[in-house]
Amino acid sequence: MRALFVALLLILAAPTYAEEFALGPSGQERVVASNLLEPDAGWSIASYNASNCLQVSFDATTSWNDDVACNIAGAELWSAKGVWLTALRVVVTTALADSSTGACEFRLTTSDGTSAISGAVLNAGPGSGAAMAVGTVYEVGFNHRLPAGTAFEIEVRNGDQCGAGSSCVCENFGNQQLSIWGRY
Amino acid sequence: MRGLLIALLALLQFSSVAFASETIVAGDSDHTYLPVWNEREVLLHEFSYRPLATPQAFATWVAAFNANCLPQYGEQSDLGMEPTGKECTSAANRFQAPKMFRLTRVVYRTSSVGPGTGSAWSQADIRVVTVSASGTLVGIGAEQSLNSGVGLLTIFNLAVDVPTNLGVGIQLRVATGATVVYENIDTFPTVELWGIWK
Repeated sequence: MRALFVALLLILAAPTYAEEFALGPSGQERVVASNLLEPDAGWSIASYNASNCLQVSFDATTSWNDDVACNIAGAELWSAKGVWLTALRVVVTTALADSSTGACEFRLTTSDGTSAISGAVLNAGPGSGAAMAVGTVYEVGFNHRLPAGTAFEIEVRNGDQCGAGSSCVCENFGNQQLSIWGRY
Repeated sequence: MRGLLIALLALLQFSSVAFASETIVAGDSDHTYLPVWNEREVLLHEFSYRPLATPQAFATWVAAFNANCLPQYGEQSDLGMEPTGKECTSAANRFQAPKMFRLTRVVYRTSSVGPGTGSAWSQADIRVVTVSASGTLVGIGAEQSLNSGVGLLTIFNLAVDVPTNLGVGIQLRVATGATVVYENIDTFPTVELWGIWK
């Protein structure tokens, strides 16, 4: 009986309440950075390029709508606290028709775009012949420790999951919400 | 020994709030409203915007709540926001997240006194809405008079689950007895959305 009580206490311990059993899902996962994407013609490239990161700061606009070299301050996101980066997510806020050529692929990098974070690649788009409805979520999970004070960047290129099936173009992706998640 | 172990586990079990490092201090605004799971409440989104510049020409806000919402992501002109393109269905005018969340608090704060503050013709009411892809707007909580002045807050205490296919928008309308919403350019409002990730 006593052993059963001990087992019960262990099962109902605090992490259960937090809905947190591992890095990432729910509980202590937080948004590290997010914004509305307004794709720019400069995002429509076939291959990742360290001269082509999302501009995430020092811009005249509040959304992310431009590209800059990955080694300048405008491309850098950073955290004053060390953080485990856990996920990259896009929620569709602008619908696309099934004939659209809009699709983007995003990846996170460090060291001014020279080092890709393993697993942090999100290929977002509806897929051949499919439409993209508001509320659809594209996500990829990973674990990467970002030490306090260090920066990361977001690179972008054409995805390959557009409704038209081929010749996908990132600048036609529409205005969507992109977020990077982590656990401090 | 076994009893000690049970006591220790029980202590850990029943003191989980202490792990959240949450201390409520007298004077915190939290004192007036503590949502369930408040220790997990986080700032979901914050935005500021430049209100309308010359209200006479604008019909962004009218006597009844219409299809327009405050701009949350758009380009901010020094001359004040443009009167068009403020539809709640625009991705730039609503907050939407890739995970469901419980919206617990919306706070509107003005940072300075605008030229229309206190004028009978410039009073506005404000409300929070969910926005569907088709443009259906559903009010969350009751509308309120918009407090205008240095550091004044208009606070919505809420407990509404918002799924990924809905956005959250903020709307204004001309208050009863007023004739136009002169939304006080130079009041520099900031809006915060607080909630709990589900």
